[in-house]
Amino acid sequence: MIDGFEIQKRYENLPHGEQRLQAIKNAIALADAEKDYEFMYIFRSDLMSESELYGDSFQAFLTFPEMIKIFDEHEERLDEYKHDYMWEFKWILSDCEDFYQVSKAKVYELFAEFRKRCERYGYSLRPYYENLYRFEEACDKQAAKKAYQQFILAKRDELADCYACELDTMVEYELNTASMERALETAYPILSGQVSCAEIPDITYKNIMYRYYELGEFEKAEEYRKKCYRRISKDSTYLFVIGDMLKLYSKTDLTKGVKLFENHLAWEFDSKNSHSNMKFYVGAAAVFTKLAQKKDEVKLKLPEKFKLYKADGIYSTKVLAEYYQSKALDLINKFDKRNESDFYMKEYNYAME
Amino acid sequence: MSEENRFKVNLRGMIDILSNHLYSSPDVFIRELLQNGTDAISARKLFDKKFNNGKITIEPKIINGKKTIIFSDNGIGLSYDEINQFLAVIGQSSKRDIITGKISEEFIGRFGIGLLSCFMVTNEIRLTTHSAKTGEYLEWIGTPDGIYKINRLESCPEGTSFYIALNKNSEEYFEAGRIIELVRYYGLPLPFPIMLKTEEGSQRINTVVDYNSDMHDSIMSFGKDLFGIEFMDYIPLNSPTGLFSGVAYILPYRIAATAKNSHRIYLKHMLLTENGSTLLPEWAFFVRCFINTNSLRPTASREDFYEEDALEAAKEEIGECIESYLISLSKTKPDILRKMVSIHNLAIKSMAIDNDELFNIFIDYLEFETTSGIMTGSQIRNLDEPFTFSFQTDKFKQYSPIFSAQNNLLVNAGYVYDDRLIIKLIEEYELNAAELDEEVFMQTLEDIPQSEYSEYHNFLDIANETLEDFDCQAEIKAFQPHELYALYVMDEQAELFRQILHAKENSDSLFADIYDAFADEIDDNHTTTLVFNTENTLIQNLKNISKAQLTNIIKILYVQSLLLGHYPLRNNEITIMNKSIEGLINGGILK
Repeated sequence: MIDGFEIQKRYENLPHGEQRLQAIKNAIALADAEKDYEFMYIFRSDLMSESELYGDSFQAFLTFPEMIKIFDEHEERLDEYKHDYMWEFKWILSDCEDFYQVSKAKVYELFAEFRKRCERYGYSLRPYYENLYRFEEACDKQAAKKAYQQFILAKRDELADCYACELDTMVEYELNTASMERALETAYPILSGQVSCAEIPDITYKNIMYRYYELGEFEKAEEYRKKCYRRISKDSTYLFVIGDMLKLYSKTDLTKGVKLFENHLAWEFDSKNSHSNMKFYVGAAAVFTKLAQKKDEVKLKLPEKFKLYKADGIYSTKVLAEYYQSKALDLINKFDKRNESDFYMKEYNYAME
Repeated sequence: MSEENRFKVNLRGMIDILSNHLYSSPDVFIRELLQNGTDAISARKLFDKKFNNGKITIEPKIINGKKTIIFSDNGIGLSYDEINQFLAVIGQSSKRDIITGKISEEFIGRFGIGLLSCFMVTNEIRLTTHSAKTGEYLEWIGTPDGIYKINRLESCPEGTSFYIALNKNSEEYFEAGRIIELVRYYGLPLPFPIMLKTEEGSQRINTVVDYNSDMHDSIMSFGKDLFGIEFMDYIPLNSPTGLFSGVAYILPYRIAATAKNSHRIYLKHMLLTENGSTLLPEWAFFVRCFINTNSLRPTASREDFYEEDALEAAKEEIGECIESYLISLSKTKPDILRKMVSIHNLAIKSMAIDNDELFNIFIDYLEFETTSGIMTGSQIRNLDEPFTFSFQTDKFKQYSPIFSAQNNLLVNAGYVYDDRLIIKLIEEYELNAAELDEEVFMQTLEDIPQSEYSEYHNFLDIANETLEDFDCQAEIKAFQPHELYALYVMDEQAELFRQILHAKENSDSLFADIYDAFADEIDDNHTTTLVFNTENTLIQNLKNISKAQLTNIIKILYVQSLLLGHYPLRNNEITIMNKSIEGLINGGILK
């Protein structure tokens, strides 16, 4: 027998990030060696949280199927964790959007499995529809709309996202379908600080910024960019947000765009999250494409790990632009192909305008 | 046809809701009374510019056999009309300008339901009040069923006095110690005296030390009184733009970066929150702060600050106060600095990453794990020899024996912040250092002489044949320490590939094929190599044994090397090792 709680206490004292992730992996190896099912399960569950909340979700994606298998095989003993693993299943559903490697058919299979389990345990399908709506957003607008309507009609229960997150989903929907005014009205409890959670208002600020960017109202977009940035500037899980901010800067302030790129390039090195990477590549492509129209060279302080690293720090803007265009397009094609849509290509075309 | 009706609110029910849901504990009636008193004093100041001796007095006293708290202020008081207007309608606040509906910035209370909270501890509120505006003397008596009466008095003290006769189960609030504790908690920085009057006399209970003075000991003992901790030192917090003032105390022990600190953060001299996550920089987890601000806005729930530019500016200024203190410490009290660095290593590392000035001050004191034990930044930057660093703690552990045996230095940059600090250290001081690259490293291991090489020909053939099943190749080299029989070398892609296979093998069919696409993407050229050490006697002895036995031993060594490298084993690997051991034992016994 291992003293699992003691081990858990030890890694919980570590700061979040790679080091903690590694310590949890070591804990899993210990529990596996001892065939201690409860801790095989608990440690994996902790690994998932760490990867989802403080990492690029990739590790969570690798861990979840093992975890669910352990749960299924020892359901009687692990019954008290039912709610936890269903909660983690929601993360996996939302990750599907981020990894084009999972085929669309497979995504629907995962959704069906989640639904089946919700029905088996008597949970409301509210989070099922909420996640389906989010996935369909980049695939099929009609299907997204349908899923959204079912989401708001379904009962809220303990498997539902927190109120702040759900409200953010509603704001996002209204940003995409209704007027800005209406969306801001809905967002009021978030924007006035009445409701918040680990990710809200960060994401809401980003969504509002993005919508203003799409509408060409760059001053207002900048207002929300500022609010958002001060909350996310130290958290590498927000690489995708940096990508969207780069897109905005490509239209408003290239100097700031270049600075933002310099400051956050390192985040991309460690990210295996295809969606985040794509967003960052598009942002970088937009900034350097515009810059290349103005000057040939730019001086940048970039880490040695950068593929095009140059010791003297002088980079050709054209080379950088082409490099990021090709990286962006590669992923855009993969995502759009998987999603059977042109959602990301449209975003790209607007960014490059 | 429609009919308009008014619904009735059950006051008793409201009070239950307040005490059970809105307020976390009946303690808050003290807060609400303090708030009322403070606002009454502010209102009197607005009315009479010369008035500057505002005061609140709290007196626990037995009245008619009942333990009663008399809570008095010498503020503006209420007129007959005001009483009817405000105390008669729950939810209305006397602080609202009736015409504009706006509330003056001077006032803390905004919601006018504070008075209700007194009903959590009493069944009757009696107050006497003398209006500075009209000169009236009045008495108001109200009960939780919503009934109240007003009497005119001949005379009463200036301001407003509340008489709260405590319920049986609220008698704890009669104790002087409890009153002092709660008043200090909710309103310590209030800028006028709060007096406690008992039989022994009258004492001020809200004294705040002048934390900008040089009374070091008094400031330290103020911190101890406030938080119950013997702190290491303190940092005065003064906003250059007048956004806040206060003091940050340095914790004498290490706490987890994720731990929620208990600060005392006051808005307009009344407690707003103990949670510093909105106002303090996130790296400041090694301090406990006592702060008052008059300029920031609270959220509607009054539990935190509203996010706005002023908040961001305050946060930055607090950060600057702490940083400049640390910078001056390096000149004035280097011993305290050293002690601080060793206790709050992690917090300081996190600050030094983004702040060049702090980096330069601290890097010499910061500690890093190396194959020569713990080394400080100063020791590392003064090295004469080149060194290697690893971004992964597991690799550091795996390669440590080899580096030690070869007298080369390996630095562990795998811990959080160390990665960026080591890189910064190398760049800043132009050090001769390189990241551990396993393939490159393998090239540096000594090849064995051609003459000996032929002796291992057969061994290598069988090893390669055996390891093919594991997608791994065999090599032989001669290296120290000789106790190490083999080294498992894997590039990043191969490691990822291994993780994916591991996940695939341990999943149900629903999930298993998700991974195929991930695996397909990984470069076909990923390599894993098991490097056997010909300096090791076991390996030397394997040259001439039978193929069957050698195959078993190679498999065991392979799995052993994986374990040494802290790689999680795949399903079949444990089985393979067990079978191989079994094979060896059977072979031995049968022979």
